[in-house]
Amino acid sequence: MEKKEQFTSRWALLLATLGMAIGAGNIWRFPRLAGQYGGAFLIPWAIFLILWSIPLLMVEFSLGKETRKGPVGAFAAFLGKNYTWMGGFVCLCTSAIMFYYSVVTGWALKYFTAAAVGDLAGANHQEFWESFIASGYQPILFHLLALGVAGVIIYRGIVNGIERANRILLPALFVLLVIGAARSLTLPNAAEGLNYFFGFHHANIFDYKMWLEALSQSAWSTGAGWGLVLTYAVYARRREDVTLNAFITGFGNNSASLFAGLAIIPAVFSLAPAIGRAPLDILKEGNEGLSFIFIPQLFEKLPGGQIMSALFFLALFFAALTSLIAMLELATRMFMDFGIRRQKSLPIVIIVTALLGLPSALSLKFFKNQDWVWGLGLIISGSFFAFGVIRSGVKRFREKFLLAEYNDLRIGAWFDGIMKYLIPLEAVALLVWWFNREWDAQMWWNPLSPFSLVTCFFQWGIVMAILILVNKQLYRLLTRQSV
Amino acid sequence: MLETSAMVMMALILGTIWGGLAYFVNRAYRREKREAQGGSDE
Repeated sequence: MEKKEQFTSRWALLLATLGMAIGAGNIWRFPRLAGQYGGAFLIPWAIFLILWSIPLLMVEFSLGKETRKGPVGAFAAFLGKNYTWMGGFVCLCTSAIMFYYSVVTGWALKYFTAAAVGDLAGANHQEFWESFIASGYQPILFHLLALGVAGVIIYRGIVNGIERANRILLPALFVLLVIGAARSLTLPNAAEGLNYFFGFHHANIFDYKMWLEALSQSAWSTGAGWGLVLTYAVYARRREDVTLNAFITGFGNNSASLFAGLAIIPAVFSLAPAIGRAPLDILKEGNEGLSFIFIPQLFEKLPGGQIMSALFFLALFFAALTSLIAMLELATRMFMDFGIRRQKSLPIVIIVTALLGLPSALSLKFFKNQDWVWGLGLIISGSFFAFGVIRSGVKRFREKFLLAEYNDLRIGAWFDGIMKYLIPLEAVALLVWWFNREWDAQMWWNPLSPFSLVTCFFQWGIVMAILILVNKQLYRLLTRQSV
Repeated sequence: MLETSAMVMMALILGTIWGGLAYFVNRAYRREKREAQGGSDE
């Protein structure tokens, strides 16, 4: 049997979990939402860090460290063999995101290289983006390149691969964000952006949509309930802290979001008039529109704008890559729990990801459908973790895992209330609101319509039905020797 | 010119999130240092 892999220190584990949490969503979604709602958005966003993300991160840290298995094995070990399928859903949901996330990582890599060699200078950015996406071979090529880079890192294992990569990528990402924020804040009229970013708009604080957007940002950005922290915790030291590490991961993720906001929002307010657009119109563009069309267009107006664009896309690439690494490790860990060695599991994961990422690389419509279906699926994944804790007894869970002597922070009864009542309530509210927001009276029933109600239930239903059908076989696979 | 309300909000949010991170990291650092002095926990 191979020697079990383990992170060499607490800091190595934390860099990996922070790398997992800080992704494209921090850089392209947070500034967009914060810019739309202004400073009032920051209040619920900070509140939901405590009311959703950190409790779930603590659960994931605990289960991974206790069971020493990825989500499939952890659910089977923790809840019993009848619940193996739940871990399977968590695993497949995050893997489905990985298929298109690899494409997004490829976009960032493409734009970094284009900015670095000067291809973006003077380009019509709308046309540049559209011709890149429509070219077919280019998004595929960069999807495969991004996957290849992440694959090489995972192949080298926990210490030589993931730990070493995050030791370089994460500090580099923070340095890039700080440089971006410093440049943005020294632009003329940057204060106008700050006034909007931190300005408290009273009307918005009672806007329930803003609260739900803040919840969704907190849920997706921190990676809570994705099974990724659980996967990294498999390699934690035996007496590793759970509670303080969850707080550092959550607060570290939100700190990176604030840096991204400081790098983007003042720059948008300062430079938007130069391209004849209102700053708020730019911030209301979708994620891809803001990052790949307007950011290069705005930075072009700066002296040394090409360098700023290259640094921005390098930061986006690093952020996406460290998250992609975590997703690949989760899928690889699943096969390792089935008794297949890392060196054999990884090629299977890479080939499947390369193939299943192709439709998203070729079609933005397909990409958006997958983002909608599996992004929402994460709320179900998070609920499964809460279900697991509720079923095992919330107080018992807290006493066993969160009040253990190796934890630096003592977690009080507030955790019980959040797990038992708030997380289920938040999950239901988020799903109902999201479906309502995208409700289309004509197309809701059509599974082929990208944002229909039925496309979600259809895809989740297929995955769940298959997993429930093969639940016994999954469990049997787990009882083989894990490596 | 930065408005007062934005300044207050900025201090509140950056203080909570960045200050919180600094506090938790410092706490973890002190714990690691203590444990290193007392021997490995593995």
